[in-house]
Amino acid sequence: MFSPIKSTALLWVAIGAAVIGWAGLLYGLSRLRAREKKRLIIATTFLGGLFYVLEFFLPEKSSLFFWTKGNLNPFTPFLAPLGVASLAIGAFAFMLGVINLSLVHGGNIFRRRKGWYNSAAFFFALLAMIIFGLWQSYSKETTPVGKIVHRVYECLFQGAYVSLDSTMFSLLAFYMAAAAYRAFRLRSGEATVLVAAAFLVMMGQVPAGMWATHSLPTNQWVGNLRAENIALWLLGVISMSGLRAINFGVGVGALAMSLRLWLNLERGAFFEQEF
Amino acid sequence: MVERKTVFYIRRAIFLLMAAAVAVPLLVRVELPVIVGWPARNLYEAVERVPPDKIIVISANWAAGTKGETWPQTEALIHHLTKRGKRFAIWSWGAVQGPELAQTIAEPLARKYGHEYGVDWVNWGFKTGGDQMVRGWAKDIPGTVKEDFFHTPVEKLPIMQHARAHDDIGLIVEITGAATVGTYVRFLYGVYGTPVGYACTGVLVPEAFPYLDAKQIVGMMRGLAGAAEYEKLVGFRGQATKRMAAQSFTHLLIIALIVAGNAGYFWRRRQRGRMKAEG
Repeated sequence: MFSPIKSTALLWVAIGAAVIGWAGLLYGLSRLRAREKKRLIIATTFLGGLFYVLEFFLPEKSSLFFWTKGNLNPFTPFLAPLGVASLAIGAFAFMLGVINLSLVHGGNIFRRRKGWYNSAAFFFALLAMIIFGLWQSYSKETTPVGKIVHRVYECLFQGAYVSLDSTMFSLLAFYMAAAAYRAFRLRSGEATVLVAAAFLVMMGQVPAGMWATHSLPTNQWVGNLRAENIALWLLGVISMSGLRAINFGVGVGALAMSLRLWLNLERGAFFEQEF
Repeated sequence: MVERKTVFYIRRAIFLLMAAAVAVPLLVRVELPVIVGWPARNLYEAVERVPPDKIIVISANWAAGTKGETWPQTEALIHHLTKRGKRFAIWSWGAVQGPELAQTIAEPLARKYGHEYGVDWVNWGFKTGGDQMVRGWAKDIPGTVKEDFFHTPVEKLPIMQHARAHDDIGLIVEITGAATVGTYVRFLYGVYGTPVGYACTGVLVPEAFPYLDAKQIVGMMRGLAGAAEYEKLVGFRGQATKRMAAQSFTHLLIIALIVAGNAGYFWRRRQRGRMKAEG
C-alpha cells in the first residue's frame, strides 16, 4: 500500500511534517473541551471498529467493488498499514510504562520513603539493561569491546533476569504442594469426583503413571484403562465439553461487550471523569 | 498454639520434600518410559507434511517464567525442523523475551545441522500490536516485520522470498505460557485455513482441547510431557525427557500429600465426633 521513501531529503521533509503535524494535533486536542474530547473518542472508536467489521464481513472479491482493481475488497489493502500503526502504538505503550515506573520509583527515592533502596535497585537494573541491551544490539561481537559488552549483556539477561524469572515461577510448585495437602479435602461427593479426576489426569501425564499401566495391551478394550488413555479421555471428552460451554458463554459475552464498546453504550467507571 | 506450630513444621516439611522430589531425580539418572500420545504425534506429522516451498512460523510467545516447560518444547520443535531441513521463522508478539530465548536454542541446533541464518531460518524478533498487527502481518509479512532480530531489513534476507504472506506459511506453532493461541485460530486458521499447532504449559492443556477436537489446532505438545513425547518422536534425549522423572516424583508427592491431608482430616473429624458423643 505504502512504499518506503528512498530520497533522504524527502524523508527529512516527511519526518518534519509528521512531527509538526502531530504537535499541532496534540495541541488541538489539548484545547478541546471535555465533551468534545469524548465525542472525538466515540467517533474514533466507532470508525476504527467499522473498518475492521467491514473488512472482515465483506467478501474478498465482489462486483460491488467495481471501482477497485480486480474488484477486490477496498478495505483489505489498509489492513497491513494499520497493523504497523498498531505496532507503533504498542511501542508508545511500552515507553509510557517506563515513564510511569520511573515517576513512581523516582518519587520514592526523592522522598526517602520506606524501602527507597528497592526503587534505586529498579533504576540500576533498568539503566543497566537499557545501556547494555542497546549497546550489544548495535555492536559487533568481533571487536574486543563488543565481546565484553555481549558478555555483560549475556550475564545480565541469561544469568540474572532469566534465572530470577524462572525462580519466581518455580516457587509455585512449593505452594501447590502445600495447597494439595490443605485444600483437596473429600468433604462432599463433588470434591471426591474432583480429586479422583485430578489423580487420573496427573497419573496419565507422567511416565510413572504410564509405567504403572504399561502392561495393559493396547489392541484390546482393556487398553482404554491405561493411564494415558484415561487422562486423554477425561481431558478430551469430559473436561472439553464443559470448557466448550464456558467458551461459548464467554464468546457471547465478549460479542455483547464489543458491541457495547463499539456503539458507545458502555460508559464504564472513568467515562464521566474530566481528562 | 500447638496447632499453629504443627502447621508451621508441616509446611516446612512439605517444602523440603518438594525440593527433594525435584532435585534427586535430576541428580540421579532415573529412566522412565515415555508413551507418545496422539496430540504430540499429530503435531509431529503436521510438521512432516509441510512442503519444502513453505515456511513454518514458530511463535515464541513465552518468557523465562515458563522456561521449565516451554524451553524444551521449543528445543524439541527446532531440533525437528533443523534435522529435517525445514525452513522456519521465529517471532513473538506476546512476550518480549521469547525471540531472544528461542534464538539461544536455535543457534547451536542450526550450526549442528548446517541450517544457514537468513536462508533456511530467520528470527523476526518481538513485534508489538496484538491482534490487529497479526491481521496485517498475515497479509504482508515483510511489510509488517520490516527488520529481523539483528536489525537487518528482512527484504535483504533470501528466506523472505518464501515468506510474503499467509499463503507461504505451511504451519504456525504457537509456543506459549498464556492463552494466546486464539488469535491464530481466529485470524489465520479461521480466515485463510492456515494450519496451527500448539505447545503450551500444563495448566493451559484443558483449554486447548476444544480447538484440538474441532481440528482448529492440528496437534499439540502438552506441557513438559508433550515435549518429552516430541523428543521421542524426533529421536533424541533432551531436557524434557531428563526432567520427566522429576515431574513424575513431584506428581506422586502431590498425590501422597492429598492422601495424607485427607487422612488427617478424617482422623480429626472422627476425634471431634467422639468428643461430642462423650459430651
